[in-house]
Amino acid sequence: MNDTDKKTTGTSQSTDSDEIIEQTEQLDELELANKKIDELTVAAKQAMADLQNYRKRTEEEKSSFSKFAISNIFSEILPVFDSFERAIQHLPADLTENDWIKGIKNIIRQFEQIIEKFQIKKMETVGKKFDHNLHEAIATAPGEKDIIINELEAGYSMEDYVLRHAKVQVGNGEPQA
Amino acid sequence: MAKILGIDLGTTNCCMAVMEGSEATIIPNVEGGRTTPSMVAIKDSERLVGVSAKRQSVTNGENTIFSAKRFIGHLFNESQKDIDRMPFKCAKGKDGEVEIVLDGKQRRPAEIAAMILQKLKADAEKYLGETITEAVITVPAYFNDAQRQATKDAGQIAGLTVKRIINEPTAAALAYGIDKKGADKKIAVYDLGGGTFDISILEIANVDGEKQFEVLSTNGNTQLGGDDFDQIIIDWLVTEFKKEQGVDLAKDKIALQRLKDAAEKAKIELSSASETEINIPFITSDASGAKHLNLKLSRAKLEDLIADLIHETVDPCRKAMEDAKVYASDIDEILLVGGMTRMPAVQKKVEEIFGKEPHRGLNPDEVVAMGAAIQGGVMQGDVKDILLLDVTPLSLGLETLGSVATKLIERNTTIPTSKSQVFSTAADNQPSVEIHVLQGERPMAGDNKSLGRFVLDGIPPSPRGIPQIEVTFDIDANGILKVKALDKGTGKEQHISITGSSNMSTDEIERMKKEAEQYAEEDKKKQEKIETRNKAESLIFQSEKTLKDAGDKVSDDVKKPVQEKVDELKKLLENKDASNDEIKRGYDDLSDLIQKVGAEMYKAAGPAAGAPGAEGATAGGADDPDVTVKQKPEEDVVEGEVVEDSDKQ
Repeated sequence: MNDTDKKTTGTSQSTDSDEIIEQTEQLDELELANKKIDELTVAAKQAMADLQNYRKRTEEEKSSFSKFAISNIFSEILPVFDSFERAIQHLPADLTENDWIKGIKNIIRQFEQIIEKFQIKKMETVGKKFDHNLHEAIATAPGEKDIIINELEAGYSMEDYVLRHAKVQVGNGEPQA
Repeated sequence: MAKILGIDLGTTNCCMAVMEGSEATIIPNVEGGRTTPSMVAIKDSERLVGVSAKRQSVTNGENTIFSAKRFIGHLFNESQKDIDRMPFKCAKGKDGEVEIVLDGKQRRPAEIAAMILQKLKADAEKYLGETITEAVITVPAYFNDAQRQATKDAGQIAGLTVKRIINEPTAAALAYGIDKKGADKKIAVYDLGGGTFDISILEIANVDGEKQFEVLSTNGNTQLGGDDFDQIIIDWLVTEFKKEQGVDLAKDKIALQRLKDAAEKAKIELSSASETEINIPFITSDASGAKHLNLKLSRAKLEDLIADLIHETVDPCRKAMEDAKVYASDIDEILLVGGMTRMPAVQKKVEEIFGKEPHRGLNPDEVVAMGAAIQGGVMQGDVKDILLLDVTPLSLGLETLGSVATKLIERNTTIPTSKSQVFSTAADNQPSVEIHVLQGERPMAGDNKSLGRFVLDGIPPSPRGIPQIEVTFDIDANGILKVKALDKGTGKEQHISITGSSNMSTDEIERMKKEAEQYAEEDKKKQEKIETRNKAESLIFQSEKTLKDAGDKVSDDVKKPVQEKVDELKKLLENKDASNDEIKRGYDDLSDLIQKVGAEMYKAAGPAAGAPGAEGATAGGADDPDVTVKQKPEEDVVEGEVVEDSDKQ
């Protein structure tokens, strides 16, 4: 109600305007309450949505957890296996028939068996086309463009999940010397 | 209402976070990484962003773009030095600005940033399961208006409405909640990341009841970062190896790669250990055979090696303070950002420069993204502002057989919540159960606070363990606890409402928690003793039943020693001072003997009888520790065996 209204209305009408003021106040209160309801509904919906999404995600994480756990352990152990393989690559020629060395080779075989048991597979590299999903290019050298010419570190995958990307050297398209 | 994504769009790495409830949560990318390399590549007309771009970068130098942020809002003519360093091509745009050539096309740096943002957006949507349309993106404090606008444009191109651009140091301050700590403050943010060093001096001021951040000064070094530290370690390894073995590994690309991995690992290890062993077998070979690298690197040696690098951050800090017209003593808080600040030597240097310990606790790689998410949360109106969720300060449960407190609702459970569990009777023909509601962490009922008790009677006569009494604890949003017991057989129920369950004084709660810790060992022993007693009682009951069932099928020769052992164990249980070990021994003896009775019964039945099970199972059941039985007929304690349980939120 504005000032001009008050001036023109007589005192006899004051109860009316009181009522109007009261009604306006009630309306204001109602509006406020409605606003609060809207606010809380939004908040409740948000919270419910958060919870549902969180649940879905936890379920997914649970199902992939064992995979991650295995991959974490193996990524720590794989370097030891790499070293074994390197040792065999560097085996001096006069030791190839040595029985003690044969024993060591059998130890490596044991390790391979564990890897196989977990369906972990070594990736194919040399001669294959470079694939950024599987391989990490460390360097390039003369050779057929984008074809892997050297494996610096073996890559491993478990089903369709890459445990470790293979570190490789890739051909740069220049003719080999 | 969709969430606002907080994005730290870094020079070398990006990170993103979102508010979940009242906390900022980092969102991993689809590859599982918590940060994403700021790299974009086009390979065989496929666009790669992040770690997949990084993996192929050496094969595709011209079309792999990184550090694009260095060029945002820069003119071609002023950036020649940076451009020369990059393997990709840059060109002059129509207003003289730097443009990057990717796949034969000239692109603004903002377009490259947009490609990264697009991936982050897609990954976040996949993770959160909802569409993201809005973001808060951080930029360096020294970015000018044009650079900020370009960052905003990048968001727009990626399909994101950028609700606000905030400064990286401001985001760090938000993540640490510095703005919530009282009066006006001056803050130094020391950011040593993968490729750049930034120092910023900020002031938080209270303006008309609102906290405002003002950047007083910034300084830094755009060519200093974690990679430089790794290189120093690699150089040291090469030198040491040459001294020992006379072979120069610097020329061997394969060996260098292994050195690089080992150097990074050593750097990380030396942040927590004082010495590390760098062990690379078969690193190379020459005419004399295979060569191995095995060197010890101590933290002191590392700190000596990198002292000069760390010292390079001192001058920028001093200059920043000068420009801000503050003394080190005026700085109230120091925050660390960037992975390199994990290094103790860096933290020590920071303390030396500012004469005060820096804040620790948050992951320095993630704090900027977290701060951006918090800013996003403020803008979308946080849930926590409207709804304050309470938790139960102490566990709630009831008393079960042997005065054990069985918890139904664990402490720190968010309310409202409800949980029910099915219990049974402890004795044959037990006519009623008493539900004694308890609050506290101690395993024995008597040590916890009693909130109330009630009796559910009218249970029809039946063997112990058969009636199913479902007890439900229900706490509503006002903290009122309603406990209900329902006999599933008769449908009879009783309940009690307890209003005072959550309005304990903080002191009282703390006292009870402390007591629980203090008496943990003692309580465990007490509980063990009761469990042993319950198991023994159960075995006695089973044995007597087996003997009765066996009847004439088993000779007295076999039965007699069993009966003797039963009596012995009974007597032992009557003696309140009998030790746990004594009862255990009696239990083991009896359980060995009773198995013989079972075997005898099978023999008597003969293989042709073909009825394994019934009697035999009874004897075997004596070993089952879950069956707790009390034989006093008027015992009205609820048995602690769980028949089933159900949760509902």
